[in-house]
Amino acid sequence: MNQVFVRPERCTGCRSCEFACAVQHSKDKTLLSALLQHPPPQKRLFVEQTDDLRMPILCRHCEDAPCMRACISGCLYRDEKGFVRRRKERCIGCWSCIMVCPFGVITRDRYNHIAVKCDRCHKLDVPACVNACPTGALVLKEVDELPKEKRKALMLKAAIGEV
Amino acid sequence: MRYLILGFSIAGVSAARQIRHHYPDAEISAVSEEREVPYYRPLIPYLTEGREIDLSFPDDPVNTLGVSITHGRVKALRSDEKRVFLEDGTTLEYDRLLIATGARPVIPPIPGVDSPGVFTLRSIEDALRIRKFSEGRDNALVIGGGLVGIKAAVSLRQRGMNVTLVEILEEVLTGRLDRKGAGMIKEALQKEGIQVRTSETVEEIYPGNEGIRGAKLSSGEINAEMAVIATGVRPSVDFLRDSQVNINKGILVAEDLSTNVEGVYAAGDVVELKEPLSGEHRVSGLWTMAEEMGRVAGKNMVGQRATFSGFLSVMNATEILGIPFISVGLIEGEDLETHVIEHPEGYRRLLFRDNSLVGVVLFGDVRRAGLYTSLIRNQIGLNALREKLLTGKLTYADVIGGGVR
Amino acid sequence: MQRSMDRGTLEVLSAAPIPGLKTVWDRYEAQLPQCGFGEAGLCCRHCMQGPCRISPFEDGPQIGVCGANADVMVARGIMRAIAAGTASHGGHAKHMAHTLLRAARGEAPDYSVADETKLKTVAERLGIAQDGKSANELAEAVARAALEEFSEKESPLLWAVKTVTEGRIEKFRKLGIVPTGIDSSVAEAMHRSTYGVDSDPVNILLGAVKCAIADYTACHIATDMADILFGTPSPLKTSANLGVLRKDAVNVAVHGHNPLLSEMVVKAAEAPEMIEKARKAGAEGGINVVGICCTGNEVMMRHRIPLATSSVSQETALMTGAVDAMVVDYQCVMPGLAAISECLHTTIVTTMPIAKIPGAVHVEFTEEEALSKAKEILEVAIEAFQKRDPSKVKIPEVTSEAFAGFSTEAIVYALSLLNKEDPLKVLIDQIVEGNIYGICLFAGCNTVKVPQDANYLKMIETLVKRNVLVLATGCASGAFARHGFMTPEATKEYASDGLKAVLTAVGEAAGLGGPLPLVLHMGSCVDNSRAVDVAVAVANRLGTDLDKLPVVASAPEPVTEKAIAIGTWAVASGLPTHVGVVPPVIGSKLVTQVLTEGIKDLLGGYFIVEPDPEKAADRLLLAIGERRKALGLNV
Repeated sequence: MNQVFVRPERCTGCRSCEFACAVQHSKDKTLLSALLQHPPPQKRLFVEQTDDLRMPILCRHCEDAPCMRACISGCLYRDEKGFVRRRKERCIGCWSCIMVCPFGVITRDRYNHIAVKCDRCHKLDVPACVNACPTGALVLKEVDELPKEKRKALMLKAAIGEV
Repeated sequence: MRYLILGFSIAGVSAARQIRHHYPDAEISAVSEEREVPYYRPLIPYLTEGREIDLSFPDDPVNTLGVSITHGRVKALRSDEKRVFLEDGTTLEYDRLLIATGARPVIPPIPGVDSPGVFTLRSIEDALRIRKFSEGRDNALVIGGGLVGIKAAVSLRQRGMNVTLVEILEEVLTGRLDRKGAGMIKEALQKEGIQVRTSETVEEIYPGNEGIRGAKLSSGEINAEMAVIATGVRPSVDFLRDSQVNINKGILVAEDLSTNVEGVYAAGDVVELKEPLSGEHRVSGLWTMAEEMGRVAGKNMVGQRATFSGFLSVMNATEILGIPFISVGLIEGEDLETHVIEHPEGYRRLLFRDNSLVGVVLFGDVRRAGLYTSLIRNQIGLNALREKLLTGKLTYADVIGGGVR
Repeated sequence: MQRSMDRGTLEVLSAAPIPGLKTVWDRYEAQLPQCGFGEAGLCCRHCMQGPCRISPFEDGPQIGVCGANADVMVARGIMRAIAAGTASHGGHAKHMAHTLLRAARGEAPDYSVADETKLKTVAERLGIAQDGKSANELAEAVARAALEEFSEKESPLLWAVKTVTEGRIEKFRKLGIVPTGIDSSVAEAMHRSTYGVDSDPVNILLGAVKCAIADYTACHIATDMADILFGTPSPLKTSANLGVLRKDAVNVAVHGHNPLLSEMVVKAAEAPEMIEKARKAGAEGGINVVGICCTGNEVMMRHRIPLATSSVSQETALMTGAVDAMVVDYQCVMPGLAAISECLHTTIVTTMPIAKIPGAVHVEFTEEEALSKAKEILEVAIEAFQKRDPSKVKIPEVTSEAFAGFSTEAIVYALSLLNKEDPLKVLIDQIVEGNIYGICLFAGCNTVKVPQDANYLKMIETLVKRNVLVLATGCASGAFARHGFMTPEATKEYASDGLKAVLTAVGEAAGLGGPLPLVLHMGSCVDNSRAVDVAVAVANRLGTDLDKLPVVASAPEPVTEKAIAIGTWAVASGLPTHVGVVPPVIGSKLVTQVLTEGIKDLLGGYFIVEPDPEKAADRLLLAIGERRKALGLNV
């Protein structure tokens, strides 16, 4: 499995990742159509700034994902690649996931009354945000170097809903 | 090792997941009064409404975890014999027991409350009965203005009924939302066409031919063909009256969720425990808490060490008639430093004690609520974060500050 | 993505003698994906409280620090782009006017009035009394009149009001967008778009159109000055594509825009002593001047100088290893050239004080010593030639024949051979008959965002099948030239019967012994003014206005701010104007709506934004059809 890592020291706050994210999650996935789409597509990561830091905050697809645990409708699940995703049709807009996500990266789709979160662009090799980052603040790294044993244990955990 | 779980809703399921994880060969059984378990209980008001909705767990825990379920009602526990007796005479033996029997609706002592046409809303069965009964009927009375009462009222209203919601206290959602938000929800309910009567009691329910014909309220009589009682729940502990297990309102547990009886654990709505923030003993009634408790109990039952910390009796997220709100922790308290910050979509209510956040209400805009929850549950010292909280600018970047991982 | 449709370009890119050189396409790929805010026009750096960006989606700020919303931001951005385009054409035109003035006063001896007829035509148009004036005196008066157009006058720009229809002027007046100075229009646009000035998006757009009309004025002045100094083009035959480079000669590529430089380089290259120097250095074939980009168009149509390639592929000329010197002035000269020349023997020669490139040799070109400077430049080229490594030379064997030089005057002359009294009637009759369904002017550039030439090739195919007469300028003409569309053979092959018949009749009357080429080459990008002249002549002859004519324009692969300015004045002229690359305006629904629809009610012209070339051709045909219908012509 590969993970998106953030290197805040490289982030210029350009928000290209946010833009690319919104476009990637639009109907036709082109800028033009995304701009014309209503309701507009929503981004799933957020460039934030503190006094001495700028960085994109994005879903970590936590190993022990609070959002998945808090979900009261069976919407959130971990897919075969290890990404925490939605079964959109099951979301009833209770916002329990928003209540417990310690990163604050799940948001409301106020038109469809469902939760919106990063799906790690599961159909793409490289997520749109990483691809859009002009400075390498977002990087995709393989974490498959984990020992086989540990991976096996992880997979078992995933099978029983632990991960 | 034989593991027995009484009640197989989310607390029981998450305990079973732990047990199965550690012991692929363990014998896991469960007892449930409900045939449909496990299911997403919080969704039952949608069934009442008539929405096509799948309440089942997509991963089918009963089969994937290999849990053998006995359907029935528990009559008694004899911990000295390590046996559980069901009302139908069945006896079950265990080595480790988890009590996760949840809670039952409280039925207030109103004359006529046992009439046909008076329902509670706690199970799939309840929800479907209400739905069926409401067909062809026009007027409904909902007693209790908590979350269940409001959801029942809204779902019946969606079905086209005239709904009167009666709440004994001054505001709806007491304990789940502060007065300001409660007032706004009340307004929204009334705008939706629901008669909301606060500071009102139901003095009598009049039985009718099929169902009821009305009720006497403190302010006068109303017509209603059915009523839904939603005046709260209490832990299902009746079967423990003669057991060795310590009970107050609910089962008293240590932080590893063990009871005073060896080998017996408890988790979920049936548990009563001390809430660190308020210092009081409380019962949770929250799905998220039940899930966590089940996990912790399950780990301890297989000999892993785990503790349940950060218990909160208020940790609610919902949306009522398009208004989202999230309440976490202590949401009222005269001794707490309280700030209410209004914004175009609603407001943020923040409650501080010393250098930490102890409660929050995010009303209308629930963005980044999890950051607040995390600050409250973990009682993180705020320092510079306090200003960010007040301005509503708090993000995860602030939480990690300079120390980025 | 495929980079080009041009065989010459592709051959160099796939098998350059020195591998690993990075071109515009590599740099583009390195930029991908590009910033969405920029693409949508939703970023602003006009003040230091910024930069501000507006989210086109709902979950972000909807206004900048100053309070400007998406509409204001996009409108200001487009106005500034037009101002930059106008400043460029203005600089070019002013440079020419100054030179004409100096030439007239004898201060620039290498330049002189080459076309007195044109000089007189221009003077007459401007209302300058000609009686008794010598050519130089008249030239001085015309040059002064031109120079007066730059700073703010109390009266409208002469080149604007005297070269368009009455109807246009009336419309401009009503909207308050008649410019009174070229440079002052640029200044005004910059002023209006700076922090806290014009915040009404529609008013800003009108200001932008006003600036674009100033740009038109500049273009027209540039064309007129060039014709006066170097002659009005008439049809001639030359060739195009990288195959025009020669192994046996010192290859000098002129690149940029202003013929003031390229004309002198061509002249110097004809000087026997320079040819001799080249031969002595080992170049048996002497000196071979080739053109790139618009200055290439200028010398192509006046001196048969072959066109090596177009702007976007300028680097490929160097990569053949055969170019000894690339002589540049300004505009569209990529800084990336220097990095490539470092790996080759080629010397980049910059010539203008306002346009230097680190890594290039700078020979400052002055009008006073024009020819000697040009010779000095050629010496640099000859020196570089001696360092050329023949084993590192690979010239694609790709050339196309091309007929160039269809100035307005040349077209009218050709038509006059069929009807001496009323040449335009020939054209009008054919339009009425439907043998010419409409006229389409192709202008603009090549862009890395489209496989080079792809949009041109697709569109022309559709249009000429429907009897659309095609004119081309700038790198649009480069595209058609390199693909062999500026030939009589192309007419025979691609034109449908009506168009073929017309082109054949005119061509035969003009003594070409066959049809006119399928695409009529009108010149460089400033020469878009020539196409307006043709349309204005037709409109005046019919007593109507430009926005009634079945004439459209298209920039299928635009790049520059100049292209935005030209596109905007084409719209102001009343033409439906297609752009094939989505411009940075789509972040504002209002601005997009005004430019593509609303403006039609005000000026008759409007933008058609359509990246798909087939759909674009269809939409242009529809626009032509709509106008034909309104004129009562068959559709």
